[in-house]
This record gives sequence, C-alpha cells and structure tokens, in this order.
Amino acid sequence: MNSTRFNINGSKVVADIPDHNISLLDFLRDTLNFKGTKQGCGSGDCGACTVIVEDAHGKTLAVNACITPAAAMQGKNIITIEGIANQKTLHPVQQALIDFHGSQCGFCTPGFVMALTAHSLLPDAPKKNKREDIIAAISGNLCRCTGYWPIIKAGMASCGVGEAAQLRHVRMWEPQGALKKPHIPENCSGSSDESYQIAQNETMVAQRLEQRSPSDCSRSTIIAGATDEWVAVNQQLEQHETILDISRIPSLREITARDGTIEIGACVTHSELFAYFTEAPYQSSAIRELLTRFGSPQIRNRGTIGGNICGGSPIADWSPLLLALDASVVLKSAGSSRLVHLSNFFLGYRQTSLRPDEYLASVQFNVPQDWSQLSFEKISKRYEDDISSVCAAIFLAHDGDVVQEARIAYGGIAPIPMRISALEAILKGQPLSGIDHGKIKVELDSIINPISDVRASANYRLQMAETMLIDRLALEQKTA
Amino acid sequence: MNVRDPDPKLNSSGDIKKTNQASEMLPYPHESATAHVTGSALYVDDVALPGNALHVEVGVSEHASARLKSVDLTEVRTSEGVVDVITSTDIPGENEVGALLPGDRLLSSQLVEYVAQPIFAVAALSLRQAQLAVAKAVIEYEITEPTLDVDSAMAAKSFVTPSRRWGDGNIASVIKESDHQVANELYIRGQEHFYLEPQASFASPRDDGMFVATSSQHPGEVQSAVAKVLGWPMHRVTVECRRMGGGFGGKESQAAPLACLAAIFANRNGKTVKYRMPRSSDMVQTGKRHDFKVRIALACNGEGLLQGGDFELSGKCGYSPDLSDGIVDRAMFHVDNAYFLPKSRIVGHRCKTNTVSNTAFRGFGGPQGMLAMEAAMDNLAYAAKIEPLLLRERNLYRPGFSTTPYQQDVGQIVLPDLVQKLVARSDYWSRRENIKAYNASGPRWRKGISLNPVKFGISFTATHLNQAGALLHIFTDGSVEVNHGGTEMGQGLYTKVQAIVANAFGLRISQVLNTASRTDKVPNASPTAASSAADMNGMAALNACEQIKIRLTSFAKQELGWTDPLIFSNGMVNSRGNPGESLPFSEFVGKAYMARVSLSEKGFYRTPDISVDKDAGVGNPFYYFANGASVSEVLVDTLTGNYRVGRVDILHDVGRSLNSAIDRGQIEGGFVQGLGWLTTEELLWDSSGKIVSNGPANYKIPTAHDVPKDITIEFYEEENSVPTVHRSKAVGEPPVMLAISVWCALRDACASLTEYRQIPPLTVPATPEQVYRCIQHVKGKTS
Repeated sequence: MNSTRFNINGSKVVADIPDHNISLLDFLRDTLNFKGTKQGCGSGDCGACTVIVEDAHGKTLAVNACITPAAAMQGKNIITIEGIANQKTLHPVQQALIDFHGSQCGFCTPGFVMALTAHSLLPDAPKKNKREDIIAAISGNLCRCTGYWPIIKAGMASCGVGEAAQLRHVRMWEPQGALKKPHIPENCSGSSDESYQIAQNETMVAQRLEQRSPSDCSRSTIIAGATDEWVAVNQQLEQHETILDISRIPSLREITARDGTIEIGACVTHSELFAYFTEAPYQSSAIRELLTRFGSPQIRNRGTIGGNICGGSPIADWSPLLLALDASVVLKSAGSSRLVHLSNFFLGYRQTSLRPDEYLASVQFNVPQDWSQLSFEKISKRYEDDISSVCAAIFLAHDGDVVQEARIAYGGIAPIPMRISALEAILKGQPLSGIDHGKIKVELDSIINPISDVRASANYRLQMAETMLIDRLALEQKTA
Repeated sequence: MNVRDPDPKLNSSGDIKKTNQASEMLPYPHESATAHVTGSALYVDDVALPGNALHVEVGVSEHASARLKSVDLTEVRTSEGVVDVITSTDIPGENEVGALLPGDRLLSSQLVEYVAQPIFAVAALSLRQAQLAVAKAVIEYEITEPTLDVDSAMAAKSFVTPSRRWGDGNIASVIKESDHQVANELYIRGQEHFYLEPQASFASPRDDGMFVATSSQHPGEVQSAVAKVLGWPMHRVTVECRRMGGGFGGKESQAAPLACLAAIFANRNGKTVKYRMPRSSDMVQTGKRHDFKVRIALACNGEGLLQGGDFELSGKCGYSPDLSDGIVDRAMFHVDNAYFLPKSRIVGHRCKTNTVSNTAFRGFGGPQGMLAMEAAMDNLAYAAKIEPLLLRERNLYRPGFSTTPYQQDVGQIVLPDLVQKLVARSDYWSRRENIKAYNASGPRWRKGISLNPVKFGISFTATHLNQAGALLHIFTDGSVEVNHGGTEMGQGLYTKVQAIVANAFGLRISQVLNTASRTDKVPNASPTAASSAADMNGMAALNACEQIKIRLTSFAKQELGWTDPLIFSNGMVNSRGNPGESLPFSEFVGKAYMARVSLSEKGFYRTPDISVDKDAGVGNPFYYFANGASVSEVLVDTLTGNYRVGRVDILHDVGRSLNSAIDRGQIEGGFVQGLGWLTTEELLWDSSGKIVSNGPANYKIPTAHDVPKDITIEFYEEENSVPTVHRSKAVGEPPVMLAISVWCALRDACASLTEYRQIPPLTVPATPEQVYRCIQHVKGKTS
C-alpha cells in the first residue's frame, strides 16, 4: 500500500492509497471525502472532474482527476473546488458564474470553475480574456444546460479586463489560502513500494524493463501522463500489478535544439510543446493547429508526445506530423540505444517496433528551413476535443514552381499512420502548375484503403485525404 | 462563508429587456448558484453513506434478441468483495418497472430483447469490485433474429402499442388535385441525453420501510416502482430528490430501475445500497430520443396556401412501450408545426425494435414532427417556386385559420406578428439578397439562411397528469418553507416557485426555502416534464398561499380588529388604507400562531379546459401554445462539408416572464441542445444492434466553440391570454426546436450550388460528412 504525501488546498495530506489502480478522482471523493469534484464520464472527455495541479515549477495546470493516477500526485500541490474561495469571498470566477447565470443543473460547474481558475492564474491572464481565449480554456469542459454563453461571459468578465471586471469584488480579490503560496515538498522521491513507483532516472526504467518477462508486459506497466492508459483502467477495468511512472525523469522532459536538429524527450507534455512551438524561434502554424485541436487543456497538460507515438494509434495526431518532418525516434534499453526512422516504427494496428525491453526516449527531426512548408489539417465530427476522422500533415518545399521535396503523411486512412512515398516521388521535381490533380487522386485511391467506423465512412475519409492534399497543392501554386 | 444576499439588480443577465415583467418577478440567480460554484451542492452520489454501504452493477445481455440457455454466476458470487447476487427470481414483488404502460422487466430470466438488457445484479463492497465480478458470468444464448430498425419493424408489423390514424381518408386526392405537391421521406436520428450526472440512486432500510434518494424527474413513480418490486404498499417507501445534474427527459422513467435494484439489495442485506451507473453503461443501458422515419406529402395552391398534408410518422420505440405511445402522439400533434392545414391525415406507428427502449427527451416527439414539416415546407416552396419564408408566412395560424388538425383552436394568435417582428429585427430580406449575391460568385464557402417558426402545445397529452400539489409551512419566526411535487434538474423550477411564494407574502426570496421533493410531503405527483412544472407547481404553491392568506385575513379582522383587506409587502403586513394597522410579517404570523391559526396548507392545481380523444385525434390536448421563431445563418465549406453557425436571431414567447435570466438560460440551452441533435450528435448502432456511439469520445455534444458568437435573444412581449401563474408561459422544451433553422440554413447553403433551383436532401444530423454528401449529391446532379 502506498503512503502518498501531497497538499490539498494548502493543507498537507498524508494518506494511504487503497489501490494503485485508483484514480485521483476516486481517491478525492471516496477516500478523502472531497465530493465537490464530479465524475461525469471517467474518460477525460467532460471535464467535470477538473482539478488544478501545481507542478514543480509553480505552474498551475488543470487536469482531469478521473484519468490521473492518485499515486502520481506524490509531492504535488492539488487544488480542488473546495479550495477556490477564500473564507470571506468567492473567487471572481465563481462570483462571475453566479452573476451571469452560468450554472443551471450545476453538475459541470465545479469543473468549469477549475478550468477558468486555472486560466485566470496564467501570468498573462488579463491579456487572455478574449472570447476565443475563454473558449480555448473551457474546450475540455462539457455543459448540457446553458449553451455556454453565460459561462463564456463569466470567463471574460473574471479574467481581468472589460466592463464586468470593474466589479468591486473582482478588484478586491487577492489570491489567498490555497492559491497564495504554493508549497511544493522538496523531496518527491518515489515510494519504496513497487506497486507504483515514480522513476527518478532512465536507469530505473531500463532496469525495470530488463526484469520484466515478455509475458507480464501488460501487468507491469510504464506510464507517463496516463491519459490513455487510465481510460482503460476505468472502462476496460484493467488492473496493473505494478506501475512505473516515468513522467518526472528530467532527461526525458527536455527539448533541445542543436545543430539544426530538435530533440524532444518522450515525457514532454503537449502543453509544453505548444509553448515551445508557438514562440520564436520555432514558431510552427502546423503544430499550433495540431495542438489547438488536440484533446483539451486538461489532456494536453498531462499527455506526452512519447505516449502519443508509442500508442501506435492510426489516429494519433502527432505521428503524421512527425512523419512529414522525417523524424526518427530514439529507442533505449539497458546498455543500448538505437535510432529508428519513424516510418519504420509503425508495424500494424497499434503495433510498433518497440521491443519489450525498450522504451522510447525521444523523438528528433531536422528543423525545416521554413516552418510554413509544413501544414497540418484535421477533419473531425466536432471541431474541439474530438479524435481525427482523418488528418494530413504535408511538408512541401518548392523553388519557384518546381517541387523540391514533398513529404505527405496521413492519420486515419490505414491501420498505421502512413507516409505516401509513391506520391511524394511523383511530385518531386514537378512544376506545381503542371500537376494533374486527377492523377494525384487516382494514385492516392490506389494506395490508401480507409475503413468505415463511428467517426466517418471510408469514402469520406478518402475524399478528405484527397481534398486536403489538392487544396495544399493549389495553395502553393498560387503563392509560387 | 459570507455570501451576498442575491440581489438581481446587481446581476447582469445579458441583454434581456426587462420590460413586461411583473416588477417583483426579477431575474434572481438560481437558488443553488452559490452551492454550484463552490461544489457544495450535493447530488445523489455525493451523499455520505455508512461505511458498510454496498454498490451495484448489473450483468447485461450481449445480444439484441436471444433466449437465455444458461446463466452461470458461480464465479460472480465468489468474486472478491461480492456480498449479494440476484436474478429475477429474487425479486420479492413484481418484475416490472414500466412507466405508464407495463413491459419493462427489471431483470430478464428467459428472453433478452436488446443489447445491454440487465439479466442479474451484483452488490459488492465497491463499485469496481461489482464491475469486476459481473464480467465473470458465463451466459449461453440461443440467438434469434432481431428487428433492429424502423423498416423491418414496419414490415413485420411489430409495434409496442397500436398505430393511430387521424383525419381525412380522402387526403390523397386533395393533394393530387392541388397546384403544387411534394412527397418526401426524412429519417431523423435520435439523441443521447448526456445529462452530466449519470443515473444514480441509493436506498436505506428504515424500521417502517425504505428511504430512497434518486436522481429522478418522477419520484412518485420511483416510489410506485420500488413498492411494486418489493411487494409492499406504497406508504412504506419514501423517495426524495433534491436536485439532478440534468434530466432532459432522460430521468423521467429511466431512473426507476436503479432505485428498485438498490432497494431490493438494501432490503435483503439490511444495508444502504447505492447504484450509480458509469457513463459507459448509462449510454448503452438507458433510453434515448426516438429515431423517426417520416413520410410527408404536402400540397399548396398557386397562391402558396396549403391545401393538405398526409403524414406518416414511425417512431423507433425499442423493445417496450415506456412512454413511446405519448411520444408518437406528440409527434402527431406537432406535425403541423405552425401552419394551418385545411385537410390532413396523420398516421403514427410505434415500432417495436430490439434496441434499448427509447424514452422522453425534451420535446417528447414534438421536435421530430416539426422538423419533418419544416423540411417539407422547404421542399414545397421550391416546387411552387416561392421564397421559403413567404410560404411559411402565408400559412401561419391566423385569425379565421386557427384550427389545428385535431380540431383545437390555437387561441392566442402570436406567430404572424412575432415572425414579422423577427423578419425586421434580423434584417432577413436584405441579408437573404446579399447571401444570394455572394453565393452567385461561386465561392468555396457558401452561405445559407433560414427563418423557422415554432409552436408547441403545453400540457401533458395524458390528461390525468395535469395536476400538481404543494405544501406550504410558515414557521413562527416568519420563515417559509415551500414544497411541491416538481423536481429541480437545473431548469430553475425551485427558483421560480420560491419567488412566487415570496411575492405572495411580500417577502425577500431568502425568507422562503424550497425544500427537496419528497413523496411523503406531496403525494402522487406527476413527473417534472412537458414544460409544465412551473405552470402547475407554481399555481399549486400560489393556491396554498392564497388559502393561508384568507385565514390570516379573518384572523386580522377577528383577533386584531383590522378592518381592511391585508397587503403583504416589503416584509410587512398592512391593512389597506389604515397606516396604524401594520406589523412585520414575522410578528404578525407569531400572533396568528398564538391565536391558534394554522400556518400550514396544502395547495392543489389542475389544468383547466383540456381533454382529448387520442384514438380519434380530436380534442383540446393543450391548455395553450408557446411560440417562437429563429433566423440562423451558416457558412459551409463545400470542399469538406465543415461549417460554422454565424448570426442567430431568436424571438421567443414566454408570456410574462417569471424570471428573465432563467428563461433566457432555457432558450440558450434549448437552442444548443437542438443544435447538437441536428448537427454533431450522431447516434449509431452496428448491424448486431450494439450502440457504437457509446461514449463521449465518439458521441459529440456541442462544445463552447460550436455555439454562435453572434446571437440575439429577445422575448416576445405579450402576456399569456389564459390565466397561468403570473400570465407566464412554459419555456423548457420549445426552444429546442429553434435550432431547426440551423439545419434548414445548411440545406439552403447546399441549394445555392443549384442556383437555388433545387433543394437537396440532407440527413439528420447534418454532420460535416453528411453535408459533404449533400454537396456531392448536388454536384452529381448539376454537373
């Protein structure tokens, strides 16, 4: 049994986690009796269970408690809905939700309060109170009653600027109690219990992998953000005998740019990547597009790029983009390390070339000369927080009218994320103005063979794969 | 915590004009708003239970249609943490939990009739242990051929209740002889409720019976069902519901089985037992909005006046009647939507399918009937070469043309004026011209626009349900408790009733507390449904207030010697015109108590003037109608089918608003729920009868990004012509149908690809893929 130490709403808590397969949500509700955080779906889709977790750098992040392992909170500062108001006054987000009639049934409300509070704690929050900022901040929260307008208004009013922010109580409010002085325990070493261990370094990972026999892979599990794995724990009732949490290993959490190559550690989160690739010098509109529509803030704050690749899913959005960047992955085991080109990494539906004794340490690619050569487009039933029906990442370099290099990769059109090398070869050296779009379509038809499922029909996927490519070619032709 | 006394004057409610409301009916915040935002509002799953409480999970059928050959639960019983396992033979009373009509088994023993039908139930020390145990059952099935869709049910004449046929058998010739006619078929998919709080209930044994907490819109029915399965008289079962985390019709009949299983286990084990459904179970085990297949033939003359309509509505009811009979009735009652039809024939089928039994969902069949009519009106407008809005305007119910197909006069004529005002406020005609001009240049992104009216009948069509009770206590310190049979699911019922009572006694709303609905406070209450809860419970509460005021008046006359009628205002009780005769309310009622005057009263209300013969399709099923109209503009990417909803203008008739903030919230929320139904929410089954859109990862309700930025909502400023509570109108369901204009606008954008010569077929919901398909259909025809 794990004895876990962390802070909740400013108070130190030392508690035994009854089972290392328990989520932070169940732990909060059932063990600690914090009932304000709600269970809406158990799969990280509705946001009713949103809590704020403060990381080691003092960054406050909204996360879904339902798909966060309770044991992963060792040494963290957690803020729940019960800790948002100080003793005398409601938090401005709470007061604004009342003033704008932002709650009806109220069940989703604690989650919205937490998502908006996390947003309002951003250092540049007063500049991020535009409608689209607020919508992005609550894109991982579902409400079935209000139609969102009053919630958006409340968010805009309580994040610092605008007419409603002039309300007296908003100005009066100072962070107090739980939000005032984050206390992070210095020693966040893993527990001695093997059922859930927080790895301190890569050596621990390699050793653990070496020890486990191929047959018990599924029971001895390596996790980072666990945003996918914990859905299986909740929905498919998976029980892990032991869990090794690699999310805090410093060497896996770095992004380094050296000699024209960017190397991203496996445990870098999507939120961290968003910050990295939306600021100079590596601003990428393609990555911005990918990450804006990737899951939700709560998912992006926990999920890692390594997890997205290792899952091997044909609809994982990072894989096509990295394929279009001609990326490679670094696979390590005790005493060895190998570089595998990403197009050789995916073997079949959710099957990769990762050996049982290996872990994915990083992904690396050459910095494109011009980030605008890379585009990413996603088709899904719903714009926000939805899985791709089909997505395309296209790298296209041309000198005047002539295509110098094309790398085209898709998600959602085959059992694996896939490069379309045959088409790339056809395009290379061709003048953009001379490309026969009809021929491109026929060629693509002959290569890809998508399936029909709950998200889209095979035919729509095929049509969209064509459309996204032709559209990009036409755009380049215009600008050539 | 020091929380401000709610003062509506400080509260901005958006841009609602505050005219036309009784001065005392202010936009108070929701009575639980502070509890909501601090997380202190308790839902069923949040209530602290004894440490030895048990948790329930059920074992369900894997097949849509099968006979159970054997059910081996040996491994289930020995699974870790399992305390009790039951099958149908362990039910002490009846194995029946049907709502108005029987047919819903609590646990199946021989036949299973849909995927996920419960066969046995487990109570364990934790929910996870119960879930793990359930998976260990070994069940053998003898699979039989299922009936999975409307077409095969129609072919097999498989119905849950008999079909109804109303109207004129001669309709075919009327349509044939008209100047213009269209005949179309529309398949309308259902909708998952996706209330944020999954179904939940717990039961605790008491020495005189059983206490049940439920998240249900109908505690009275839960009480009846629990008593029935236990084989007990109803008086031994007390059911309470403080609040639900959303209902939308999905907790009208669907909550009862959870309470029943919890109660059976509680009774067997002498322990508190909770049954909370995980979302993944809730989405496959509970009923949804009905799919409907609608066939319409519609005709007009050369002037665009409707001559007749022939309607056949086939609802996919699932395996049992549940509430489907009334739902198909309401679809039939609303297939006219807002238009006068001189002749009509309306046929409604209740198709029995091997799927989960579909149930109430905000609008209760009305939306499907109205959408089908609106689609047909567009088709007819194109056939007759009339602008769709002109065809709509010409045929609205109006003086002299105000009789519905079921012979009820619509009464208060609202729509012609309402639509005219909306046309002006939305600048419809100049935008329509601009959009046409814009589309004429052949852009990739096409625009579409549509104005659609909504008329919705208010009252339960099951006439006996139109009754409500209330219980009112004044305590000796002057604080007031009101209780009634209605339930709070977020719609603001408690807030409205609290204000009605406070207003009746001239008190601040904080002096009135609306307590949890309980079957032992107000018995035999109807479900909180049909948009009627504020109408009926508000009136019942007012009735109790009036009775107490009569007693207090005679007390003042006899005991205090006050001569004039009483005025209750600003916390004071005054005698009219006599300044010396005045007391604070608390002091006044204290004196009344000392004089042995009863300060408690029950109130009752029955909706007047309604009756209907549903087999003949004749009568006055509705007390009145609520009206509205909306204009939506959309922008469609013709290469992908993606789209955005642009400007939306809504003008809606709430009579004299009881609370403008809450009514606006109902309009906004209803519109977006309708928007989801018609756009992104695609309810899909596979060929074996399994629901494949079985979780929020693949069933997509709207997010904040999907709602239009540019929306104007205004109230139509006219009071109800019939004497409802403060002359208000019901507002729960009607706004859902305001979203029909989005669907019609999407179709309009696609029609622009034909230079507005044809109106292409579009499915429901119009997902981006389906819009793309519509565009391809047009391109295939025109190129």
